[in-house]
Amino acid sequence: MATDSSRGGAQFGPKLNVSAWVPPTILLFALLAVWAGLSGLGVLDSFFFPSPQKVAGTLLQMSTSGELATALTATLGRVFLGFALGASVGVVAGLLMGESAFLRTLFDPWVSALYPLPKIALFPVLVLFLGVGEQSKVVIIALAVLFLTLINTMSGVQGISPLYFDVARNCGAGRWQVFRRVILPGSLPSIFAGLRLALGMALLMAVAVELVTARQGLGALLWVSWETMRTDKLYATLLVVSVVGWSLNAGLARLEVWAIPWREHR
Amino acid sequence: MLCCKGVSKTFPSPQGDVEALRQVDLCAEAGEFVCLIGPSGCGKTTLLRLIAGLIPPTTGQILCPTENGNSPIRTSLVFQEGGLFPWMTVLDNVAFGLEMLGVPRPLRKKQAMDFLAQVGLEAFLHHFPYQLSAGMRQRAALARSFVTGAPVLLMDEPFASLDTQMHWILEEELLRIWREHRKTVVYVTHDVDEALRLGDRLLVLTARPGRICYEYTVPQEYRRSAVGKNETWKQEVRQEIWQLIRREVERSLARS
Ligand SMILES: Nc1ncnc2c1ncn2[C@@H]1O[C@H](COP(=O)(O)OP(=O)(O)O)[C@@H](O)[C@H]1O
Ligand SMILES: [Mg+2]
Repeated sequence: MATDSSRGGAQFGPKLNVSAWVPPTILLFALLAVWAGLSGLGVLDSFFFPSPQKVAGTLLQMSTSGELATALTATLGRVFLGFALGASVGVVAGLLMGESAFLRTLFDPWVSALYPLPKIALFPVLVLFLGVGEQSKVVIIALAVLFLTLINTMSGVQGISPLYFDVARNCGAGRWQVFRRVILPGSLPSIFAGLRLALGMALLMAVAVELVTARQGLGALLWVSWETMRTDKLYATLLVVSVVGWSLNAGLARLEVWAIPWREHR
Repeated sequence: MLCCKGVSKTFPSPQGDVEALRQVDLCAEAGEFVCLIGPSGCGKTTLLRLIAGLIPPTTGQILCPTENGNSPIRTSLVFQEGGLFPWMTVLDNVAFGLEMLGVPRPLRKKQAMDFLAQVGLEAFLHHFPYQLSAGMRQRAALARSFVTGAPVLLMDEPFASLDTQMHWILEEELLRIWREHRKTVVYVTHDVDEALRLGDRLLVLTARPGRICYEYTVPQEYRRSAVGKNETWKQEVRQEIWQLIRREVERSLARS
């Protein structure tokens, strides 16, 4: 049994693995160097591919002027608000539908019918009712998030081994105790899988609707850069969008490791 | 004392009803160790779930006769994979049954630690199940089933997924704790030798729908003797039960 003790301890959290991130970083810098070199030699058209120095300079200028901060705040505000609304409704509804066969039969047809509909297609309808302001944007993000979290949460509940329900009930657990001590923790891995998909989707939706209607936000910045032929700005903004997407995902991954200490995280 | 009288169970299903058990009569004295053997799919798990009150029988009764009438039976279940909640620490898992009984936190913690010490897991209280070996998980499951003080222990092939050495060690562990606390045990296995090592009495179930078709009481002097000792008495009964089970397995294969 002594040999098993090495498996214990609080070794949670992702392990830093040097060999996993050094080669990609080298590759990244190599590509940047090739890009800079080709731009310098005039091989790349500076309109379509402005040099990395130029893009970096624009990025710096955009951040000092406050343009970037304004856009980031607008986009992140919509993402977080829409995500919080959609995810809270989606998780709660998913848990209830997973738990209750009656609620499942009642709402499943609606969920199955509406889930495959690309939510962005509803945007014109929402604008019709809510106007082009913040509301329609937040609601469309919330809708997309809601379905992803609901479906994942529900399937998480239904995927819990019947064994655990037997054990809990054998110990005398009532419905509420089963919910709190079995269903809630048991579906957590699926809930987080849904949240990660949904957060990516929230950013996608935010940028998409901003491209169309917003005056502020990263999507609006992308569109304006295109309209004004500022390709350096376009690339700088794209870079910011992808960093935002990566950070959101990484943040949620950390939260997951913290919230599910009982699972082996790789 | 635990009594199943004429218990049948039929599961309704869209492809036609599944008759899992037919007219099972099973009685166990208080403190008796009964082993149930039968081909897979014959309704062994179903019978345990019926006794545990998790599902109602289609016909028949499951009783616990006492001086003052029939009382509900308190049972604890142990499954092949232990059934520890992955999201609770070993200590919380073992204390869960007490928590559901309303035992206050300090007391249930103390009792759980007591039983975990009895199975040699005192150093693993705050580990999660994934951090334990399969054998350790089954020890924790044993501790959990004994801690609530339920008089009837229902075990569904509890050690079947362990390797042979660990299997034997845990059998001894089980017997040691059982001798101390004397519960009525219904122990499901598909291994005749295991049943002969552990039980006071063996019951053989037929292929589905399961009925009890054979009963063997282990002679007093041979019960739970140390492994490797006095094996000759087993030859005949082992042979006989194997014949029966083979017939039943073939019957169930021929039908499926
Ligand atoms: N909840 C259930 N619903 C429908 N059929 C079931 C259910 N539980 C068990 N069965 C069926 O009852 C039969 C007996 O199952 P089980 O008790 O698990 O057998 P064993 O434990 O002996 O292998 C099987 O045919 C199984 O498919
Ligand atoms: Mg079974």
